[in-house]
Amino acid sequence: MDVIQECMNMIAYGGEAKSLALLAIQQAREKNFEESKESLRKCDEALLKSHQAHTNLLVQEAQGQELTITIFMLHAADHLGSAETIRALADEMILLHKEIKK
Amino acid sequence: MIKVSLICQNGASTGLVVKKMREYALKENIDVEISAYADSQLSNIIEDKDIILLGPQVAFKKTSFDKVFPQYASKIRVISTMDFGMMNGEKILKDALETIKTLR
Repeated sequence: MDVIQECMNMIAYGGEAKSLALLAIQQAREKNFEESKESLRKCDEALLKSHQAHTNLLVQEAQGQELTITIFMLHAADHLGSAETIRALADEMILLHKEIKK
Repeated sequence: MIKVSLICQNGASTGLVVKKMREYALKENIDVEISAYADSQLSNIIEDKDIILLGPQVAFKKTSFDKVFPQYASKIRVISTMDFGMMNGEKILKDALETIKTLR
């Protein structure tokens, strides 16, 4: 797969993961903890796919292929990065919602 | 003319998808206007468009968009992650045209 295609996969699945993590937090706020858990599971699946695309690019570079760095690649990395951050924080925020419920 | 708009955070990735969709529309002679906008511009364009397609990276905003524009909620749709990631312009445009038919 070419570089642009890998970047698109990073953005699409990273974006889906971010959307699902935010949805999970929202569901926890509404005390739907089972739904929230399911959204996080789907989020992790999407995050894995986004990571896979990222890894493919890293492998290409490690094999000595010259990759031209473009703003579009940075944009893709940004999407994956923010998805990871929100995924990590989602765990903490859902815990807080569980605490509040008690 | 049918007007299709794609929305994402700043139009970078949707720009590429729009290009693919236009190529397909040109090849098949479909009379359609396809454009990409940032989510902040939605309020300026939503009235004029037949369908608004959200990129998967802004899918989480659909609920808030539906609340802000309840009269247009039915024409706001989310693009499937796989079609978007594979830049399948043909499928995205076909699905959008089908959806528009059901809206009319």
